[in-house]
Amino acid sequence: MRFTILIFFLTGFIVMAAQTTLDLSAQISKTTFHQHSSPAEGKRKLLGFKKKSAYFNPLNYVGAGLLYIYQNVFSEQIQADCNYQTSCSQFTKLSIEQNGFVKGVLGGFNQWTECFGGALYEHPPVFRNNRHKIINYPSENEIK
Amino acid sequence: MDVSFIDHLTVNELANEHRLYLNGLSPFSDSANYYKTKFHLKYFDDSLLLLHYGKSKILCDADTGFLAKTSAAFLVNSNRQKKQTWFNAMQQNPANTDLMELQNIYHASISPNAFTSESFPAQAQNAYSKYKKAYNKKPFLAGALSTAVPGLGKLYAGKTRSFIMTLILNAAYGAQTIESSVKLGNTHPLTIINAGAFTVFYLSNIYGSYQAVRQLRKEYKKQFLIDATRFYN
Repeated sequence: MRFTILIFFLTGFIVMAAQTTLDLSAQISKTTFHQHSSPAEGKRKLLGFKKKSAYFNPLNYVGAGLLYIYQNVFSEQIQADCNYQTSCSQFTKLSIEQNGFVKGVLGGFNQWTECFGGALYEHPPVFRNNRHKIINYPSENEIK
Repeated sequence: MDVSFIDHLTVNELANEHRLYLNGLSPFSDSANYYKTKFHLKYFDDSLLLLHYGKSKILCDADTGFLAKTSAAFLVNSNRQKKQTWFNAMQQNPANTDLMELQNIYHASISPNAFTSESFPAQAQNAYSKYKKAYNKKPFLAGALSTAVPGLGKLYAGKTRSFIMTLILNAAYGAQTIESSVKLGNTHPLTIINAGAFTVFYLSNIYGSYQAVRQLRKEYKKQFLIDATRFYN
């Protein structure tokens, strides 16, 4: 039990330390390269649930937690660059929000499978943005 | 009403001044409503456009160029209900050729099987053929094909590259699961992790194939409408 608590706090500390370092690096690079920078992406937030029933599904919290840690610690460390306008993790998060846990996770994994250079040519030109990324929507109802 | 001043505001894109000037005009004047309709076409606002079009129908219907431009704008409008309202109103019009073609494009976007690609401008024909092809594909069939062979549903949907990637990925995870099961046993943690990963990727391939058909249908529809609209603008 003691060991579990220790691991819990240690993980929290590492996450916070990594985050502080990343914030500092982001500030330095922003100050240095602000003239050449492209518009920044919005800050990634913790998963929110639209349906009230989703708050009672523990799997949603597991998904939210894992995605939060991945996006705020690992993704920035490994310099992940996605072929999609909405990255795989962000897509999964939004997809869970809109379609529920099962469909959201399956949709996210499917996008991950299709995340390679050639995938760009499998979509019509209107669904490619000016940075040569595929414009993707977590819910097909958003394609209008 | 100073028409040359309105033209000046339009050409120089002075939206706020334009709006202020039009708001100062009598709301009961046909010509004021006509210019308001044109204003809402330029700075596209579908609700207000329809409202003022209703108030100045005679003047607007006489301007066939305006009707064609508005129809083209409504074709790519995301609000399905308002798009339908506009094209229903256009059906009662004694239409010119452009307007007829735009109406055909609208109807083709709803039921593509009723038309052939030759009915449309050359630059929209390719997108139309692709849309028609995608429209006739069945999402459940794609899902069933991917259940039999991972990725096959994506090939059916028209995503050849994704089919290859999905097949390789699923085959690799499947082989890894079998190998760890044979060498380490079914209860070994590595076998369980491999089996879990394989299951998730396999299920996601079925769901993804089903979604691919539905999604590509919508994507090609949008591409067709945009290509067609470009021709009339």
